[in-house]
Amino acid sequence: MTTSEKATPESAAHAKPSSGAKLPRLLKPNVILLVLLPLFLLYLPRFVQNTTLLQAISVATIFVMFAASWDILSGYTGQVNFGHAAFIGTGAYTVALFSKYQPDVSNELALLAGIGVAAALGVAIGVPCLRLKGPYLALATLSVAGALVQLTFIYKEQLGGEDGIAGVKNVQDGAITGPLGEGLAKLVLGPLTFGGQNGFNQYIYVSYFVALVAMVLVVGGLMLLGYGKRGLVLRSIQQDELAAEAAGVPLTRYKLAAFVLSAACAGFAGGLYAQIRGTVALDLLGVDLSLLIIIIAAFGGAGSIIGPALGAYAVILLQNYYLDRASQVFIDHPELKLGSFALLLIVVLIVAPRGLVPPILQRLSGRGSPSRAAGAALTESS
Amino acid sequence: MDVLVQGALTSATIALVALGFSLVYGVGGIVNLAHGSFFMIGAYSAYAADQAGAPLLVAALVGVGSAMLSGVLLERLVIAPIRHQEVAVLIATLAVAILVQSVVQFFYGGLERQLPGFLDGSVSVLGVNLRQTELLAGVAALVTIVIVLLVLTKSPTGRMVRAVAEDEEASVLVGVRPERVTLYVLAVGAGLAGLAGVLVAPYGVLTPTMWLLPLTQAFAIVILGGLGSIQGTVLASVVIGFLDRFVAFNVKDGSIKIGLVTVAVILATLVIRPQGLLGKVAR
Amino acid sequence: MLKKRRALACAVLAITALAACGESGTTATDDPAPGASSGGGQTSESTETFKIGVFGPEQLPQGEDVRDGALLAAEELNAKGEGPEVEVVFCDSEAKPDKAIACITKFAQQDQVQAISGGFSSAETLAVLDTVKRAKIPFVSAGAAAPDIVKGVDSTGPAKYIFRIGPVNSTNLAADMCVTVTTKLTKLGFTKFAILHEDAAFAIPLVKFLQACLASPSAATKGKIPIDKGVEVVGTEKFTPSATRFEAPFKSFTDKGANFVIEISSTQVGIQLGKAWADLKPNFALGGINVAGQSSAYFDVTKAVGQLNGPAGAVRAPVSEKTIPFFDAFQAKYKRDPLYNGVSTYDGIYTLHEAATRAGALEADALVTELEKTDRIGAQGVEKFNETHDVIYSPTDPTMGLSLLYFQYQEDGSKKIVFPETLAEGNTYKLPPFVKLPGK
Repeated sequence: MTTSEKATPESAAHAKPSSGAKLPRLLKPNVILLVLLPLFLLYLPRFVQNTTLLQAISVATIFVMFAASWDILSGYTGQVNFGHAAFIGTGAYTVALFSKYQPDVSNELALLAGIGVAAALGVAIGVPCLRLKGPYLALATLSVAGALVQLTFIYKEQLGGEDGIAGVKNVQDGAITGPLGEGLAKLVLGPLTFGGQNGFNQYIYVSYFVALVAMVLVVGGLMLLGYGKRGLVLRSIQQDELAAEAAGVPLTRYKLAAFVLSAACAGFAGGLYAQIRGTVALDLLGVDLSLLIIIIAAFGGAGSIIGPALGAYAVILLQNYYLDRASQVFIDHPELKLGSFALLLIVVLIVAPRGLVPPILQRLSGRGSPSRAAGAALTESS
Repeated sequence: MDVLVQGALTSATIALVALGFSLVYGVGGIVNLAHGSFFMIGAYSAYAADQAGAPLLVAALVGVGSAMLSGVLLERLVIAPIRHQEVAVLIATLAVAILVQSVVQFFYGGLERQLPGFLDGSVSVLGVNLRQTELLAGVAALVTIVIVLLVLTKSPTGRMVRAVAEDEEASVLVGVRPERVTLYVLAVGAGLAGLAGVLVAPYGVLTPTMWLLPLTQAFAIVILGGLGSIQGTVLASVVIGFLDRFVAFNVKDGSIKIGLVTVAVILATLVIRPQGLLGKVAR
Repeated sequence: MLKKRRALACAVLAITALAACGESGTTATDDPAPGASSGGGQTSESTETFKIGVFGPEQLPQGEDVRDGALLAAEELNAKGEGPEVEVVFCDSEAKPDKAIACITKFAQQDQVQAISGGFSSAETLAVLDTVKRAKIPFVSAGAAAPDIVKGVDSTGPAKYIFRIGPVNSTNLAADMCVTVTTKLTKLGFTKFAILHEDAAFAIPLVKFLQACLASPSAATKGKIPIDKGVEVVGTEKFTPSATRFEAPFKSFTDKGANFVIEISSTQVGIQLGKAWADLKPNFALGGINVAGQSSAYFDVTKAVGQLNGPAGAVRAPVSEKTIPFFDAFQAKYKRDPLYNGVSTYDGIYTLHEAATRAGALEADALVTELEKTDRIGAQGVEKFNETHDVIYSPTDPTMGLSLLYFQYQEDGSKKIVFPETLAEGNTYKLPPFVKLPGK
C-alpha cells in the first residue's frame, strides 16, 4: 500500500530536500520571480529618477515582509491572525524605545531586540491560541493588537499614545545598514551620481536598498521553508488537523513555531520600517494595518508566500503612489484608498466560489492528502 | 455609590450593543465584526438629521432606522452569500467595518462632532450628581432591554428565534426559516446598537473610529457571558459596566485604563474558560 | 493559481517600468532641493517668490488658524509690496506625526519651498525635526510649546534651521500659571488647588514644572519669582484627548476639598471638559490653558460661565501695538476670533519675510543668519531669538517675561480680561455662581 504510493509527486517533493542541495521542486516556477524581481528592483534606481516613486517602492518592499510573515502563519497553518499589526508594532516600538532611551545602542542591536520582543509576543499569544479556532482566534488576535494600542495610551509618556515616538535613529546611521545601503547605492548609481545628491535623496536611496536586501533575505528564507518539507507539514495542519496529528505531526510544536516565526519576521520588518521612517505611531499597531495585510494576502493568494509578496507591491504602490496620481480625490481623502480595497475584498469574497481563504492547493500534494504526505515526510527523513 | 449608580446606567447602554451581537451569533452562528459600525451609524445619522434641522426625537429615530437598514443590507448583501464560511465572514465583516469608517471619514472628516444633549444640566440620584442626558440614556436603554427580553421569552417571534438558536436543523423541521430569522435578528440587533449610539453620543464625541470600542466591549461581554447565551450576555454586561466605572473612579487615571481592562477580560476568559460564564460549548 | 500570480507579477513590473519612462515627478539628478547649502545654492533677487510651506491640522480650528494666520500675513505683506512676494503652501497634517513628516517631504521634494512655518501639536512638530534637518530648510515653528523642539539647536550645527516663534514654551507657561495662582488666586480666597491636564507632549513638562513651582515658586525658579510660600495641591489627574467623562476626577477633587482646578488642554477635549463642568456644577472653579476655549464657538456649546482662560495667547488687548490691528483684521476677514496659533503663525510669516528682505536672498544659510538677528514687535509682543533659537518675548510684564494675561467668560458669553489689572478695564474676577469658598 505505502510502497506504490510513495512513487508520487509528493514523495518527490519530500525526497528532494533531504538530498540537501536541491531546491524544493515547486520553487522552480517561482525562481524566475524570486531572482528576476530583486534584480529588477536593484537596478531600477538607475533608470528611474523619480524619488517619490522609489520611496513608495521602499514602503511596498517593507509591506512585502509584513504580508509574507502573515502568510507563513495564517496562509499556511490556517491560524488566521486578525491582529498581525501587533507583531509589527512591537518590533517598531522596541526599536523606537531604544532610540529614545538608549541612543548609544547600535541600530542593529536595537533591531535584534525588536525581533526578540516580537518573537516573545509570538509565544505569549501562540500558546493560548493553540486551542482557539475561527472566531475565537480572530477575537483573541484582534484584542491583543487593541490591548497594545491601549498600552501606548496608558504609558503615554513612554510610548507616546496617539502621538507615537519620534526621532528614531535612521538606517543611514546604522553600522551595517548605513554602509550596506550606501554601498549598493554607489554600486548601482555610480559613486559620483550618488555623492552629488542632496541629503534628502541620499536618504531615500539608502532606505530603498536596505529594504530590498532585508526583503530578499526574509522572503527568500520563508519561501525555502514554505515550499519545502516543513511547509507541507504546516499546510497539512490547515487541511485537517486531526489527520495530521494522526499521521504523526507534532501539532503544538509546529503551530507555535509558525506563530513565533511569523512574529519574528514581522517584528524585524516593523523595526526596520521604524528606522527608515524615523517615527512610530499607532498606524503600526491598529486594525487598519491588520486588515490591509489580510487584503494584500487575499488578493495575492494566501498560502504561497510569493503571492502576498506580489500583492504587497500591487496594493501599496496603488495606495502610496498611483492612486494619488489618478485622482485628486485620493489626495484629499486618503481614507478612500483603504475603503476601496476593503470594498474590493468584500466583493471578491462574496463572488469567488470557494473564497480566497483558506486556499486549497491540490497541485502541491498531487494524489493523497497533504496530511498523509506530511506525516510520511516527517517519519521518513531526519 | 457613584460606581453603583453610574455602573447601572453604563451596564444598560453597553448591554444594548452586546445583546445584538450575541443574538446574531446565537441564531446565525455569525460573528459580525461590523457590529460596532451600527453603533456608529446610529450616532452619525442622528447627527446628520440634527444638522439638517430635525427635532432631536426625529433625529434619534433616524439614527435607529439607519442602523437597522444597515443591518438588513449587511445581511442580504454580505453575510447571506457566505454564511457558512466562518473565516470569510470574519474577514468580510471586518472589511465592512473599515469601509464604513472610510465613508464616514469621507463625509465628516476626522474632526470630532458633537450631538447636542437631549437634556441639559444635572440631576441628583441617590446622592450622586449625574448629567440628565446620561440618566435618560440609561433609563431608555434599560426599558428597551426589558422589552427585548420579554419579546424573546414570551412572544411567538421570540420562541422562533430561540428555536433557531437552539437547534437550527430541528427548527427547519417545524417550519421555521432560519435565514429569515437571521435577517430579523440582525436588523433588530443593529437597531439596538444604533439606539445605543444615539443615546450615548451626546455625552461623548463622534469620530470615524468610534466603532472599535463598542465592538471590543461587546466581545468582552459576549465572551465573558458565553457566546450564544442571552442570560450570560446580560450578566456579563452588568459585570463589565460596573467594572468600567469602578476602574474609572478608583484607579488613578482610570478612564485611560478602561480599554486595557476590557481586553484583559477578553483574553483571560478565552484562556481560562473559553465558553464564558454561562455559554454553551463552542460550536 | 500560478498563472494568476505570474500575471499579477508581470502587471506590477510593467506598471513600474512604465512609470520609469513617462514620469514627471521630481527628478533626482536635476535641481537638488533648494535650501541645500552645498555649493553655490541659488542666487535670488527679491523678485523671486518666497515660497513658505505651512502645515497644521486643517480640519481642526487650531489648524485652520495656522493656515488663516499665515494667509492673512501673506496678503498684508504682498499688499505692502516690499521685499519678496510671499506664497503660502498649506499642507494638512491632521496633527499626526507621520502625516506631518509627509508634508515636510512634500514641501522639500515637490513644492520646493524656501522656508517652513506653522505646526500645532508638539508631537507633530517634534516628529518633523529630523526631516527638516535633512532637507536643510529653515523652519519657524509657530504652534508647539514643548521645550525639546529647540534641544540641541545652535548657530552652526545641523539643527540651526530650527526656530521657535511661539507660543511661550511649556516651562514659561507653567511659570505664568504659578505666578497667577500664588499671587492673584490666593488673594481671591482659593485655598486648595488641583491639576487636571491633557495627556499630551506639551503638557507633561508643563505639569512637572508647575507642580514644583506651586510647591515653592522661588525654589523652582531659582529666585526669579520672588515668592517663597507655595500653595496646596490636593491632586493631579490626566485625561486623553478623546476623553468625554470627567465625573471621576471631579469627584476625586471635591472629595479632597479642592476649590480651584487648574486645567491644561490644547485640543477639542477642552470643550468636553468645559461642558462637563458647567453641567455637573462641582464645588470648584475652573481655569487655565484651554485652547479650544479661545474659539468663538466654545461658549455656545459649553455655557461655561465663570471659566477662567489663560495664559491666553489670543486676546484682543493692546499687548503690543500690532495686537489689536491683527485681531480686527482677522475678525474682519474670517469672522471669528483667532486662537493663539493664528497669532503666532502670523508673526512667523512676518519674521521670515523680514529676514528674507534683510538678506536680499532666499537661500537657507542666509535666511538663518538673518533670522537670528530678529528683533521686532509682533502681534504677540516683542520678539527675539535666544542662542538656541527659542523666542524671548515679554508682552506685558518685562521683568518676568510673562504675559499673565487671563480672561473670564461672562454670563452673556463675552470674554473679559481680568488679569492683569492694567488691561482689565475695570473687570474683576467673579466666582462662578455654584462655587462656595471656605469661610464665605
